[in-house]
Amino acid sequence: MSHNQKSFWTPGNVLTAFILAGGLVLTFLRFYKGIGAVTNLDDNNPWGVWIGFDLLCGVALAAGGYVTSASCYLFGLKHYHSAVRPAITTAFLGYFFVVVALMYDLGHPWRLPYPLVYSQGTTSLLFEVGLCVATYVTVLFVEWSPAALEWLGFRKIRNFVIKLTLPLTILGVVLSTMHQSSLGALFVIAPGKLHPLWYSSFLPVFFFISSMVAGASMVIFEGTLAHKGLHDKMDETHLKEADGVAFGMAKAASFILMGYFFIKLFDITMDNDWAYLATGYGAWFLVEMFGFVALPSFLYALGVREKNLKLVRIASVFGVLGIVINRFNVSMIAFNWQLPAAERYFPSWMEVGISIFVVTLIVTTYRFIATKMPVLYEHPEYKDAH
Amino acid sequence: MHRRKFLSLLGGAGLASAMGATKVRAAGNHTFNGYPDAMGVLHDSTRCIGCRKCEQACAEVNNLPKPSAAYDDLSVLDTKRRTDAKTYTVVNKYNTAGLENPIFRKQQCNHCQEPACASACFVKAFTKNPDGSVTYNGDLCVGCRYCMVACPFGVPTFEYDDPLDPLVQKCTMCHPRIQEGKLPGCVEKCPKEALTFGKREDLLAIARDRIRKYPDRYENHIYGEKEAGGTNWLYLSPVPHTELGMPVVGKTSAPELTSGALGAVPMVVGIWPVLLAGAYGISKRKEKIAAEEKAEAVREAIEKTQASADGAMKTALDKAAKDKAAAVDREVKKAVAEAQKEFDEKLAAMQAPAEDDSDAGESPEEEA
Amino acid sequence: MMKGRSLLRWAGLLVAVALVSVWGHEAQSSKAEVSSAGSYADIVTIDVIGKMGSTELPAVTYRHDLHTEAMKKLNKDCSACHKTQDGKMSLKFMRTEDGSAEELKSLYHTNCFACHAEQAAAGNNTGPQDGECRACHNPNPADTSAWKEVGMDKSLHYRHTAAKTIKVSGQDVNCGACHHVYEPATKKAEWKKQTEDSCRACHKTESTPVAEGADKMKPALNDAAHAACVTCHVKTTGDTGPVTCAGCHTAEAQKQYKVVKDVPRLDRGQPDAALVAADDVKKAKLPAVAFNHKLHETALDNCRTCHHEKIASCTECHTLAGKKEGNFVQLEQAMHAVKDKASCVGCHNTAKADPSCAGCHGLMPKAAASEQSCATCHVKEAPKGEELANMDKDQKKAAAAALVSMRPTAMPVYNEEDIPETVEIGALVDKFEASKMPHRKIVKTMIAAVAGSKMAAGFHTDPGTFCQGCHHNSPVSKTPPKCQSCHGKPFEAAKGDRPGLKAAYHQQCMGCHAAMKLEKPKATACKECHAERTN
Repeated sequence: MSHNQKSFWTPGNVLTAFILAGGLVLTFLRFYKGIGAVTNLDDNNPWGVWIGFDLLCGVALAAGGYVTSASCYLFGLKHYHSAVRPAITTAFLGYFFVVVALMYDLGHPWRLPYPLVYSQGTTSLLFEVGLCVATYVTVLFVEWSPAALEWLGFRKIRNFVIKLTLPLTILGVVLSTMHQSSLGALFVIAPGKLHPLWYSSFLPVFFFISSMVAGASMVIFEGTLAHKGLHDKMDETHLKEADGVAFGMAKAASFILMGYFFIKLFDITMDNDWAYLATGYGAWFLVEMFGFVALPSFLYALGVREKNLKLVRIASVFGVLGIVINRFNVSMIAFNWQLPAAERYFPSWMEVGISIFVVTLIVTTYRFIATKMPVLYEHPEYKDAH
Repeated sequence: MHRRKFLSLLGGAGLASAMGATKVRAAGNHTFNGYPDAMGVLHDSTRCIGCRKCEQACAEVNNLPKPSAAYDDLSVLDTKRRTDAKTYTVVNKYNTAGLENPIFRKQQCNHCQEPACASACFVKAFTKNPDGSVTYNGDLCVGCRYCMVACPFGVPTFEYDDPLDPLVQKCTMCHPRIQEGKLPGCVEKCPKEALTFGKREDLLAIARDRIRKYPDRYENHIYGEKEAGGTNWLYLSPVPHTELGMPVVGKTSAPELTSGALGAVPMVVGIWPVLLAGAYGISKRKEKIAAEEKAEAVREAIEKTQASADGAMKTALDKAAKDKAAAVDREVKKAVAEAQKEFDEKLAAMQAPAEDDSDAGESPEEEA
Repeated sequence: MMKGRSLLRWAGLLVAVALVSVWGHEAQSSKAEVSSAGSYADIVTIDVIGKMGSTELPAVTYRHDLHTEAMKKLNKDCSACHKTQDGKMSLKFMRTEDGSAEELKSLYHTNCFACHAEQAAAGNNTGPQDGECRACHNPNPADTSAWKEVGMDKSLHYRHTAAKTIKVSGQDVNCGACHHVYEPATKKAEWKKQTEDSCRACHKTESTPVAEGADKMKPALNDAAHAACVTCHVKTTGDTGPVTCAGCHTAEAQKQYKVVKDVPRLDRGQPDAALVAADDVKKAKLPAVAFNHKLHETALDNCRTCHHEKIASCTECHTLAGKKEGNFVQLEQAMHAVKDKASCVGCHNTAKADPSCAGCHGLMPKAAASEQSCATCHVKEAPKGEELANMDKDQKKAAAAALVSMRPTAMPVYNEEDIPETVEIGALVDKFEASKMPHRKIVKTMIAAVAGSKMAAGFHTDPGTFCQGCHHNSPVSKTPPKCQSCHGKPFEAAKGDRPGLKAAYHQQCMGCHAAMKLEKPKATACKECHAERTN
């Protein structure tokens, strides 16, 4: 590292080191003593935060990759260009670490390739998820690789990969559509376990639509963080375009959230779930719908209209939290709602610890990449070569 | 490598063909009504005395560890229990209001006709056998536990404490014993034939017959006849089955529930690339048109500038020409005037000697 | 710019408010469970306007006892809400006659709100105020009705006839205090001796004209009963009946009624025994059945079980073909319907739920009446056809009495030595010692349990009939076949639902023990029947 000893041990880095060390201990415990030793999972609650947060939220929040690259390359919004690389980088890291986190949750992690190469359970929606995620991680890796190749100076390969941009982007959107929605569709098989306010045969549609919001919100939110921490790494184009990207994404997110709100409304009407709204779960559902769908939609609209970047950023926090809340509701809070309180799931501190560990890994890796590779700026040798 | 297999490894394309086939089967007129000679078990809770002999038999035939409380200790019935990785079946006691005696209900895998676990498993670790049982192959299991999420009855359990080879465990309907022509362990041991073993369709007939003969002994509902698309275990009860902790499960089977979502896959795979390529085309075209328009504008601008420059030049040139002409004129006139003056002077000098010469001098000039 | 911004804000606010209110409205007016919901006997649905036609708002769910209690606390009585006309309290709220819908609406609203407002002003806990429409007009009221029908059984009837507080001037019996029929000559309701009938005989669910063409109305049962019972209970001081809804219409209250065991036989000219014969005796294939009316009077605690609405002979309404008065229930069904407690067979089936009967009868299918028992009632000595048609009333009565006297008074049983003393069951000898069943002891105990039963005596016609409780599905015999002659291996598809030997024993023994409520041995106590093998 280019930092000297003194500046390296910043409070942030100390915390990172502490989390990473703790995570390694927990990792050892998990693989030495088994899932039961570190989690509160049981036979009634087979999926906890490792699926609810690491997988469902991880995949949704990494949607920025396909949202940004599709806007830029497919829909011709060229001024998003500087946002594509950070978004692809985040998406690649997100997906990569989703797979890493999955290793903790799987009973036989080394058999993860089985569904792809050994025994294909094609009737399973999880198969679709697995296949798409596996393919998409590869796609994202290739999409992201120019950053690394430019850094390493492999000009020829880099130029070849750049030529693949269009088919890769299309493939990315197709794969994202399928697995983002399939993650929701995973729960379509359990109508008896998921609360009627959240259960719907349109869960795949809800998950897909909300993933676009997640992607857009995450691009804004991440941009905010990156501007705070890595401002010096950004080139002029990036800085110049950043606000425009934020407003563009905000405008899109506002519209999508509005649409999402109304299709949820239709869904409640279609299933005639009104009566549930007067219950405790109903109140929580209203909090999600108004506090984390309607409110960010409104804030985004207001922020765009008044060209208020701060408001847009606040809205993005609500948007991101909304996705987390929604995924938590579907996978944990409203799942198994009919079980008595004593049989419900609450994560153990060690499960949460592993999740924090994985997030820290993502952030650390992102910082490494962003400081070393041309992500937030264009490589001087490849200027205007896109 | 077969072409089909190759295709199926090609991700999206493979999905389209594989899922497409599933969708067609799920949405078509062909419904799966279970294997014709599938066996099943009918549990009649009016006969069950809660002796736990079935639990004991189950542990014996499946080599399961003994529980902490012996099987003749019936006090365990006072607390609600569920199956786990070391217990494939449990009997629970229900003190239902309005009845003097408690009712007992045995719980284990219901062996669905279209099992949610098998439908959900992404490595095909579960098999619905023609004998009606649903069995599991631990050598394929990845340990994702989606089967546990999918099962409407909460049956599959997991060996959470095994770090190396944690497996999903559940009742197998004693598939190996059935294959040998034996009865399932629990059925064989039941002292009251509260468990009746036979072909599922025979069991349904028996159950209906019991309800018909003893109308006030039974609730007129065979649980499992239609639940989750039908199960191979069936239940009779003197009270509504929900009072015995049986979940309210719709008639829809797991494959039916997911067929819509799976059926959308070929659509996405087929339509998305076309639409996206179209969008790309449109944006490219827009760009091209924009570029052309820009070029045109530039050309026009250049022309305009050219034109105005030309105009200026021309005026300048004209002006220059005019100036030149005027200067020449002026010089000529000057020269003429000077010549005239010289001539006049000469003439005057000459006229002074002779006055007549002046008229003669005037007339040629006029002619010129 | 400013204009646009504020416009957007207002629009957003409006949309939010609209959505919340739509949501809230839908949620509020739907069937959401409210934890405070209870089950009450005093729920009255006020739908007087609704019955006139359509209404703006749903009917009002009103709790009467709640208001009676509140009035009592305020030292007010029924007159606070109910007007009196001609010395009689009207059951209607604040009126004696219904007016138009508009008048009714304003009457209810004015009076209800006035009182609620007054009480609210006084700081008392009171009902909804003006504007809280749906608190009263609730389409999905949370409270459920615990209302239970109440009826006059023999004990209750006796307590009324014996009550000193109920007197009719100039008469030595007080029947006339309640029983009356409309007398067209005097145009009054008068008591006529020996014509007493159930209230339901005249008072139907809706009010009906007293006679054809008459403009006077017989009130509906609901009104008639409350007008008669409640007003009398209110008027009578001292030992009197309930005045609140919950006092009569809850299961708890009804359980607490004093029951007089040996009620003297009611005298309304009923026969001791009667012939039940079809309306068209020539068409009837079976002979008439003698009915022991006197015996059944003691077996039941009311008349209404058999005489559903009015005191009349069965065949008056239930004919061979069935007719409207009998709800088109044919005579055959009226006597034999298995599931209907009002039929002979149905009622006898319910009687078999008694533990001393249920041991055997509980295990027998109830779907159909036993064919063996036909001849028990339809005896060949009974008159039929031409002979029956030519009999007069007295002859029929005499014939019925004679037939009833022929019936056995005790159940026929085999001699003691014919009943095996023990039966050794060795089906499980691989694990347990053979079980020695004390066969004779069991049989004698069971016989003793039904010794006093006339029904058992009447229907167990052969000494072998009783044995069939266990030795089922074979002809009546002193030496029935052994269990294993039918019960072998379990789950033999060809044998259908027939249990294997082990289960057959267990089902029979345990089923009988459970049905007879024998505490010991417990069904799960193996060793109490099976000694464990020591070798």
